[in-house]
Amino acid sequence: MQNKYSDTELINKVLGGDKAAYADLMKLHQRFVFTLALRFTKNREDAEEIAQDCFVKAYRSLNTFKNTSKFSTWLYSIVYTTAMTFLRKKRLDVQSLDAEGVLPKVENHVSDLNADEVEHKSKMAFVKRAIDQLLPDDAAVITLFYQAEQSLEEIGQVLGMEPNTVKVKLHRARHRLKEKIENILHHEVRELL
Amino acid sequence: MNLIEQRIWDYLDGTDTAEQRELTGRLIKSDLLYRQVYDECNSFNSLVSAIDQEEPSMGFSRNVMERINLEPAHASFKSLIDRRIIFGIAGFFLFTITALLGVLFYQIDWSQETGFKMPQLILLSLDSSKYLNSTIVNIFFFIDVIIGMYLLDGFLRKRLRAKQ
Repeated sequence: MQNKYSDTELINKVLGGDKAAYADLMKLHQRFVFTLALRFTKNREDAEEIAQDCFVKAYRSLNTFKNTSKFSTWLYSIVYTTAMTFLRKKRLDVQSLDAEGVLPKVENHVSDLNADEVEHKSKMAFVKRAIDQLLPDDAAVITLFYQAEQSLEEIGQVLGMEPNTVKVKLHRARHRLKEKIENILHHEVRELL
Repeated sequence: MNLIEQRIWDYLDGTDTAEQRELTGRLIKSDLLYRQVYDECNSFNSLVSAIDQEEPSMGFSRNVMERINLEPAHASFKSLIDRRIIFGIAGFFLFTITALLGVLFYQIDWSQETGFKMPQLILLSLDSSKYLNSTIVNIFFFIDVIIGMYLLDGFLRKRLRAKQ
């Protein structure tokens, strides 16, 4: 969605008492905040609850936000801490999905689409399944790097780590993700990669 | 993860040094194994980058804004009042006080004997037991305890809200 105001302008409006501007600010970031929360919880209801809490928390402490980093980086650090607190509370067990059970589900789901769309949707579904099977930290690093287009330094700020540690984590997460995709796709992965 | 893969990822992420970058670039062109790993990593990057972001439910924004509307607005005096106005008012008061003091000191004839003597303060003997009996002390402590509990309640509520 295209918004005529930048993050900084919207933040200034909110700090000036304009609550409606917060809805615009939220619309710019809600999809990614929800996606990131989902990487931790693996469950849409919980992810939505976390994402809502994050936006309320961000509103409450918006006056403490300094423009030294991007608003998105600051917001994602709230998502990370909220999600980690949530996981600790829930003692979530990360369960591996059965790779064999995934394939038929996807085929049934996309049966009414054309061949190209089916291939694209299937690829995306496989990758999403593979990301779901990763540990929350690995999934978060992958999501922040590829989908939020955050630099290693920014990811470090979000996760409270040194950029070099993030670099190592990212390499490992990629390696694990590749393995998961290979497990899901078996021999088909050779055609994809 | 092998060394070649590590080097290729550093090359793609731009986290290597200029020398390493040049070397890896040359190897990708000349070495078949490097070329193969490079293509694999590139495909992996495009595959993962192409994933769509998830969409929250339709009522997501509405739910958040309902909660936001219960929160106090952020409007602070700092953002509502122009800083120049505050400095103007402060300057005016500072000027009038300084002018008043200046006029006062100017009018004093420092050489003249005023004959002014400091008053002597004589405290009357005060019988405190008449006012501070045990009932008054008990009431005083009781009010103190209530105020203390009220403040503690406020503090705990604030902490609970911050935790949520």
